[in-house]
Amino acid sequence: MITPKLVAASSVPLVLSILSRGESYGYSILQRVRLLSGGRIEWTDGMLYPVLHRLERAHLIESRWGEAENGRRRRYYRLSSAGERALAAEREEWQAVDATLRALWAPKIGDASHA
Amino acid sequence: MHELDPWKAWRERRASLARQGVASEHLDELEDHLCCELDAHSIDEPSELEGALAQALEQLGAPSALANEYRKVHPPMNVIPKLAGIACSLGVVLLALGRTAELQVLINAPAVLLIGGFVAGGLWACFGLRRVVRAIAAGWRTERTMSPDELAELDAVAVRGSRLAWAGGVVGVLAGLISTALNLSDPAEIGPAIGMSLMSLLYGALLAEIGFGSLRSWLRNRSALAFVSGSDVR
Repeated sequence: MITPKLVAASSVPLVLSILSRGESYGYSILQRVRLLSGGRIEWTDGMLYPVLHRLERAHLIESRWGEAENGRRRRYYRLSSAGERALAAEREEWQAVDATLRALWAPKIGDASHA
Repeated sequence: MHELDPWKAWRERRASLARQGVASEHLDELEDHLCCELDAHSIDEPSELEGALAQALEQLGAPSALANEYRKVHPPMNVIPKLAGIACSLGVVLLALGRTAELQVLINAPAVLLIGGFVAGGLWACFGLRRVVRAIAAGWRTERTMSPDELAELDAVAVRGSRLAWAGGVVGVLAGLISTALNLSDPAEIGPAIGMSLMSLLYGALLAEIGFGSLRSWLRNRSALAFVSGSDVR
């Protein structure tokens, strides 16, 4: 299981990335994260919504109230143009971290022969 | 016979969150979330529904923690309590002076100038005019989230401002006492000097605790808006 601190730090890029694929709503976003992470990223369901509202207040996402297929009132979120730019910046930062860690943790040449 | 009411737990949770300041439209959103969660199970019996709902509510998070997260994003409008607090403080001072009918007793131009000048000059000296203006301008833009750097900058200005206001009050007292000591031979000068001295301390205390103190408590709310706060989702 991933530590809460890392889960919190990754929440913004995760939400922005999911919304970059199209409009979505809270429950669906949670399910998507669970599915893609194989259940390793565990969010407390209710806490996602304040994060979404925070992103909306920062104008990175936009929301609208619509009607779900079963007739229920549902709030849908989508990425704004500022959100797209923020996602590009987030992607660059996370890729830099990823590349650094991969380089550090990559098996050194010759390691296999010593094993 | 006892009739099962599976949604009772949610209604109670909803009422509890509403009492803690979570807006109705946000509660509607949480309710939709619960419905989605229940739709994912194929439930036939009310008792099964009750169990699934209890589980979904648990996964939603503790009400106090959840309400706290909402308050961080949607801080309650607290201008009226602040104004009421300031009016109450001034009212108590007036009552203590026994001059409730005369508001002008609290107005002392030399003391206002001394405290205002001391704080403004001190902030200018500590941070430079551009940084002070930039920090205040960032705080003024309520329509968007402040960056952690902007929050830290404005917080530093507020902390320094509070200290300067207290220091200004003490300087005012000393200046008033010196003026009194220098004019002991002229009783007409003693009253205004002591008045300026005490009013400086009063203004300094009010500005430090109510002015800059309120700004700092507001900033603490806003600081929760900084993205990677460690309490984002978990």
